[in-house]
Amino acid sequence: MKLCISIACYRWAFQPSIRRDGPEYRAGGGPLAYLQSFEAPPPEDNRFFWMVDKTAELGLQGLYAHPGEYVDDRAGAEAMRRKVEDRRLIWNGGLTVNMAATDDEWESFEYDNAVRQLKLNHWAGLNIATMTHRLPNVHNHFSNDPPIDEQMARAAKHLPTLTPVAEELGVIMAWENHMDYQVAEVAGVVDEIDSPWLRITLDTANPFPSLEDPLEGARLAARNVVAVHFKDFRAQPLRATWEPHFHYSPVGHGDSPIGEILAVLQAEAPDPANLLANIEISPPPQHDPETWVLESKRWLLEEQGQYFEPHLSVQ
Amino acid sequence: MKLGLSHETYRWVAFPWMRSDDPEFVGEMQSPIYLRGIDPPPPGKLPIDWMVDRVTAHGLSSLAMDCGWFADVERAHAFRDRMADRRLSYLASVSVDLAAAPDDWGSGTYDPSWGSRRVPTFDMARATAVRTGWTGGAPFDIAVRAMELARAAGAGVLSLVHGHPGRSDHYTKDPPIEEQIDRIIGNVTTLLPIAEDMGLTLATENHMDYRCSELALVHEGLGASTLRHVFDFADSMAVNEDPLDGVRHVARYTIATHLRDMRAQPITQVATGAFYHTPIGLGSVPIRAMLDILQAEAPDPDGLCHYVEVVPRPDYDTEHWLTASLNWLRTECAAYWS
Repeated sequence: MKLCISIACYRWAFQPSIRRDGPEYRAGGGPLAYLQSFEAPPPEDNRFFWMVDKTAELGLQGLYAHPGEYVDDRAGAEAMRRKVEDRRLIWNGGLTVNMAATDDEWESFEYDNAVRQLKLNHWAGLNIATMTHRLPNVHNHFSNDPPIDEQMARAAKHLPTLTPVAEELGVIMAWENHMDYQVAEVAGVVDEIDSPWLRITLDTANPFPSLEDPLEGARLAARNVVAVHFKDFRAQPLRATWEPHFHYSPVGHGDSPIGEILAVLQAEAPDPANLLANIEISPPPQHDPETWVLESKRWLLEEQGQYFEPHLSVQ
Repeated sequence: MKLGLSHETYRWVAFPWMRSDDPEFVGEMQSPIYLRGIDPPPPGKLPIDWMVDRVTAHGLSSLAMDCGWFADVERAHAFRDRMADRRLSYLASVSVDLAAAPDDWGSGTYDPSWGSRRVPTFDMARATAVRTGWTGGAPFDIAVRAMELARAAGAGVLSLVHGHPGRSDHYTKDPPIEEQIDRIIGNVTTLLPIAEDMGLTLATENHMDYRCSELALVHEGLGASTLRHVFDFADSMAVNEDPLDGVRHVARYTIATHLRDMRAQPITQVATGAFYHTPIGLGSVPIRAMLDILQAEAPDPDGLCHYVEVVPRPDYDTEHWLTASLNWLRTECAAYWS
């Protein structure tokens, strides 16, 4: 597997709308970050370029980021591509689509928007684009309008209209369980469509808030998994308020059975040697993401090293 | 099916160790509470009579409450008589470490005289929002003492509540979950004949500790008609189990429930997802579908009592939530109630 990193690891440090040194964050009353081990880029800097350099500095093999979040034209996508190639890194791209769109929504906006993003991925030189659901707070496993079966039926109807485009552009769409749907639901649609241009990005912790066992989800998805997000949560089932809670943790320090999931993916994923394995931790905003990233990398290489290339080092 | 009241509904209002009108509550950086829909009971003592009044005030037929609150058999008898006067029934509960290692579980031998041993008690000075007040004995002794008090208070069922900080659960790995289940089976085995002699039915309860699929293994392992289940409608969510799947696993053992609701927010800005209490009917728990399963599969659906357990965060008005929840149940689920 290729050990990579998700740009989301640093989101509290540099994502414009939520960066923890920004006025919006301070106005929200969140705790501030002190004594960090790295310096975030200034708001006016290109944070994607910064992340590419950071990925190389961390000794990782690639990164995950949606090109459409940073550029909207071919020239911009190609500039990103050159930056990644200069650093000899792998890039796991992405796109976002309303999986539960009505026919009208699909035809009036979602299809064209998805094609636009696929082209950006193509121009950026990407062949795997993690696909996330665009409206997770509107339509998800728990929402009832429409019911979950109808949501998945809509996805199963609309996604096949994109697979010929994906094939033409050489970009595999890898649908991620993104704190919206259960892996079982995602895998059900992907199995039904049965296209090599529609695969799965498996997140190892997102099944928790969708009330699904992460290992059971991995077993259902493994034969279609081309990318993975290593995320870990510690479950706190009993609290004073009686509202259960999940806490982020560095990879390997939580309750997601990551070792068992890796074994399943190694055995059943279509191309385990080239599976894009992204560390994706996003600690609470006041914490130092870089120390979490480094500890996650250490745990993966020291405790699960058999799945990764031997030249990778903890240092 | 019938509707009852779980005393935990009023935990932030009436439990002496966690009252939200106590200066210590605000001293612990909690917000002061304003505009309550009900006056709390007098402070400083366990509000047993007050709870009975709340059952009557809401037109319910039964009360679920920790039997440790009675402290002694005499007070339990007085409670029994008061409940009989009002034609109310009682479901008893006790907090006990069901997965204790064999060396920690206790003797497994019941001596009604208690001999030279200390009689376990419920000490409210020890209780917190998550910790039980039961103290003074091994888990076996606590369970047996609870049986005595439950029987004296007129209960036919004693629910054995495991979930507690420091005890093993679905997520703890030492020992592995399979061994935890084996321990529960072994420990409950020592209690069943004593309960039978007392005319009591024991019950497991999913209490933010185990999945129903795991507790079903206990029932399958024991195959005892004197062991049943108290099903909590929302607690499956604490252990990564779909509540609808959960009820399917235990419906055939279920003789009572804690009826509550919870909203799942799968994606949040901090990206961990979140679960929040809601008034019943406004959350993500598929209440009607679960009632259908219990109606079809519970061993005695007509006698099955659902103890409404509306436990909002302390800054919400419990009475308002409880009243709204009962209204929803009585209008939207009217077909289920006898």
